[in-house]
Amino acid sequence: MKIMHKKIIILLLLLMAFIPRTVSATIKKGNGSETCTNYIKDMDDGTGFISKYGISLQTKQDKFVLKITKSKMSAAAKKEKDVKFKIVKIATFSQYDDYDNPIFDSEITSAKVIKNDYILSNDNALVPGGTLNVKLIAKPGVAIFIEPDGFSDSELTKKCGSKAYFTVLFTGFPAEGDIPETDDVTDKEIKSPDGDDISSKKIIDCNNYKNKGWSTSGFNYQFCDVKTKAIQANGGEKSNSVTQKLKCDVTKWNYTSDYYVNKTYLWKTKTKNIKNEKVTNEDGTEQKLGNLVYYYNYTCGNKNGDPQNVGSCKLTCEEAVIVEYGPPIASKAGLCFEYKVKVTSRVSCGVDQYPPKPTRGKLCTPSPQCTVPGSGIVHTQGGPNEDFDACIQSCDGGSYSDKCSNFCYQKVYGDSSVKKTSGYELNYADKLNSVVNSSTVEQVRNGATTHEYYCDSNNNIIWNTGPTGLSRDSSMGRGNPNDPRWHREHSSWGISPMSGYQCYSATGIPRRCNCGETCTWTKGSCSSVTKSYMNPGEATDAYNDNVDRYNNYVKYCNRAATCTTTTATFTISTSVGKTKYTFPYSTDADQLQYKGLKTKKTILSNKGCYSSDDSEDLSHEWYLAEWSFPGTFIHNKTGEISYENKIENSGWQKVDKKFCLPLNAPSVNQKWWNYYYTKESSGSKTYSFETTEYKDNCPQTCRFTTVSSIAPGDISKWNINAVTKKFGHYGWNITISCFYALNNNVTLTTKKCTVPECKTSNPQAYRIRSVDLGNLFPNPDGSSISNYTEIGRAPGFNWSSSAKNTVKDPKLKSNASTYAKAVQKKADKVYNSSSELDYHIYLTKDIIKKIKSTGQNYTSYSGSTSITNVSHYQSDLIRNVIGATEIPQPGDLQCNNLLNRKCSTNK
Amino acid sequence: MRFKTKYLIISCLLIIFVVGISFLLSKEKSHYQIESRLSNVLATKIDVDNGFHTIGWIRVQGTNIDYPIIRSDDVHANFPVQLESFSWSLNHDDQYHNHIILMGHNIFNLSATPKSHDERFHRFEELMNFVYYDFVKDNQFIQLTIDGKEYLYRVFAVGFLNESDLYSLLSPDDYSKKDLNQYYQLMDDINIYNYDVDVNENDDIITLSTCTRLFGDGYKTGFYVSGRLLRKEESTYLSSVRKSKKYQEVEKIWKGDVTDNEDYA
Repeated sequence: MKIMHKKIIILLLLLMAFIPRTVSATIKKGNGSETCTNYIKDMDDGTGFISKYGISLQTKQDKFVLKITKSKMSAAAKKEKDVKFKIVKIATFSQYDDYDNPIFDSEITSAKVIKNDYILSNDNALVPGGTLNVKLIAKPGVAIFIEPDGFSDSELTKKCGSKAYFTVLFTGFPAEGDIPETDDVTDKEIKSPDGDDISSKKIIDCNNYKNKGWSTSGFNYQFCDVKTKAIQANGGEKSNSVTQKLKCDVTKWNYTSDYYVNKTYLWKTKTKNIKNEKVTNEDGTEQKLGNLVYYYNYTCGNKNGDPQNVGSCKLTCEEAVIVEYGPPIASKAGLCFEYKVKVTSRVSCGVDQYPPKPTRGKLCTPSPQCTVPGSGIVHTQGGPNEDFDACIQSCDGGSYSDKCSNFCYQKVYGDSSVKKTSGYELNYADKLNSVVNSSTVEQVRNGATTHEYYCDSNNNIIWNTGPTGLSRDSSMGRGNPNDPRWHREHSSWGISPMSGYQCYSATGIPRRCNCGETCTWTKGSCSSVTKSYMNPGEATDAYNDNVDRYNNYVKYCNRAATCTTTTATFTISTSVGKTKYTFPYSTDADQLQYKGLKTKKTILSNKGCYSSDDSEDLSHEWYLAEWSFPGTFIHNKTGEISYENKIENSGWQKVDKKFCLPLNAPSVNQKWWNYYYTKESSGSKTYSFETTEYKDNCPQTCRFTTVSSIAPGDISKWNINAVTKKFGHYGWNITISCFYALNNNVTLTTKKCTVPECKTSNPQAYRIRSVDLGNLFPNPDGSSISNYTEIGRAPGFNWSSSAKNTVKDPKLKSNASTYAKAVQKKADKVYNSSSELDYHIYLTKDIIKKIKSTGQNYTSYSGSTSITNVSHYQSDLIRNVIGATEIPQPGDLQCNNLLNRKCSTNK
Repeated sequence: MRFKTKYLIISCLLIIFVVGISFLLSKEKSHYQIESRLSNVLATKIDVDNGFHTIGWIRVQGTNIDYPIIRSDDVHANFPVQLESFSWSLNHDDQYHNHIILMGHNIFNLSATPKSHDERFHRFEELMNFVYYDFVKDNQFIQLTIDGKEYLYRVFAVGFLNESDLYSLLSPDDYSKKDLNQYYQLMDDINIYNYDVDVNENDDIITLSTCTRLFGDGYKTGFYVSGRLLRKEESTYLSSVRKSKKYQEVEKIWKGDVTDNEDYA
């Protein structure tokens, strides 16, 4: 018998296997089928949707990329092979409303979808399963509205309960004007040495900016250009270290339009959590921003609310730095030179991850809970409620007859049909829901604020009925202890007071007062007891407060890329012999602090974040600092050099922004000096040192040695060093080393030159000699030159053409070599022509008296001196006291050979 | 005479032997057959969406009570009367304890003279059968399925208590020896029968409860049936049972001469 039973059961099971199973309702429409609840649920939660369909969002410098990647789709999504979505609209926004919804400024058309590399078709249909690349332009935020394709609004609303928009919000676009109106920008992949493509190292072809007519000096192009070159220089690998030691190129010195012949490109990127950012309080104190914390006032007695730490923002910043610095310098003792350094940083930041937005707390209407002393726990009794008993009482006087039992069951519980133990949903929570939806309760909740639950000083929940609404006080409130609010709100019981009972249980089971039970309000009937509010207003208030917290916090996220508060320092130093001179600067003072020599122009340029003018430019954080030597004081008479402050017009004149070598400056970096002159003399036949006469009369050891090639290792002393520390966003520490070269001996040997003009020592001991104007440089044997175009013995440096070449001072108008020949040509004829006359002074008794009355003597300076590399002096005595009748024009004083008191062609 | 006496003695001994054998045989006779409800427990899902979950199964001999046991983690949960064919656990978790307390609704068997059977009885209405002496003589076993095991209890007490008195039984889940002795004392006080069942502080017990209006609609009384877990090697023989003095209170109701039910008030 038992065996037969088993066989029957097996047969039944086999039959059941062929019975079609009931499936949940699906929506079939358009090109495929999709269970409504699947995607609607996800759409309610944007994060879930993104995850399900493998959607990734990437922020770029000028765009956002939305990708749907099949390999990242969930298993459920992959099964939805035919599901399509479409872009409904695209809109921009710049702010949020009180409910954290974007306030859209304007709707833009699909034409603004500027790139659809893969699957985005003309009708904006999106097909999960491939890769979709959408690049958009908007500012500062854009929302893409996506909805399932193939359904009408009414169908979606009817089937799914709401309009099925999936909205993708983007924020953080660059400011207007910094992105092209149209964009064909393509990604250029930089491969790592092993050939792997690394998406984070993709860079943009910056020429696209230029091709679109964008300024190459604008932020975006410059950032792109520097970043690209930095990555390329770094082999496409990691970002640079913030500590850099750079050296100038020893083979570069020619410059025409761009002084900065040396340029180094640096780039660094880093992702950080902004919770460690310092923020300034209202009282001026600083503190760490910390995580965003929401507060939900769930708990009675917790005045500070229930905190919920929800994290922070993740911010990725990139800093592109270009370091520009000048070439090495070939100088001579007594001359001044300038060396400039410029560092420029551009910073671009984007928020990778925002903290989660606040959610509205759940509502849990407290229910009365009655306990009997000693029990501690309340459970429903195993019988009917008081309505049923009351009904029986009125029906058969409490006999519980079959007829009355059936009648009352129908009346009280509404349905006498059998409800088996599955699929039945009515329970206590549903009763509460019905209460919430009832007009009576709505009246209470939307009415005066006094109709609400609150916590008393003992953290007990109290129902305050207030003066209106429910006419009688509640037993749980402040009044009649025999009328629980629950009974009054229950829709089936109406609002009339129940009679015949003195006490009621929370769940509808009648209880007698004399059983000693006590009742309190409790949220225990709600599934989420710990995170629920008793009153709708509380939930709204707390939500609004949290929205404010979110918006305030997001402001920090979006402006986290503000200027650094760190003070950068800048120094430049050089040395003369063994003496080192260092000139420090800092961004906060913008002043030279070296031995009191202060000037506002010591840092040549100081802009961006280091400039107060641009401190509000938060979207484009950038830094620029350019600095050089502060300047040198030279005594006009003695040639003495000072790097400390001197009183001008007392014989001291300032050479601004330049470092001047003293006359006794020792030689340094001679090899490079010779290399420099070797290169400079090539192709220049006028170079005096290369003349036959020079070679004939100056021994080999006295000539400068020809050096055809040079390498950094040939530099004996990198004697110019510029340093910046804590520069820019990431606090770069950059050292730039270069040098000046000085060759007093014009030779590399120590052997004493036998030719007097070729001095090997005491270069400052210049010689004064009387010369024949027609024979300024006689031949070495003392004989006169044959014609004025010849130069006999080797002239000194200042009479050579190298003087002008070396000094490279545009204000030096005289070419000494040409001038010498012009002088020789005129010879003594210069005295015969009034046009050659520089000054014409009549010395009369009266004038001599005037001169004496000034008290000035030979060493008195009472004019003005202009110093470039060749100083000239304009005497007030001659011009104002003596009253010369002929006098050079002020602008022509620096000319050696005047014609009619003006610079002539033969200077 | 001597022969008669001897014969009489032999006959008596024979009778005693036969009666003893019969008694012993009756003792060893199985009066309850366990039918596993393990698969039923797994297959039953009652109102899961509202927080209920099935933790076991209960069968009561002689009744239609062959229901799943459900439980809610919410101690204030309401088990709606419309939901049929189930009982619920008043214990604090889903595990087996040495005192299992189950409850069921009684909606259609609330009169002073409960029915033994009715087509509307889909709850604990038929638990009221234990109010009848003839019933309890032949139906003394309660089968509990929980925690993947089957347990069989022997009824040792039936009685009435005020509804609120139930709460004194609810905690803790695992009774101490002191708790058990107090419980036995309570049951002894209210027991309307005298069962020949030994209980002590080492036994596990079960309590079934439902609601009754046997003493009138103004008296919210609970009806209780208690059982003791069968001990090791204990067979399912029927215990002898007699009416106790408390049974007279019930009989007074039936006779209609009840004027004061304060004992049940």
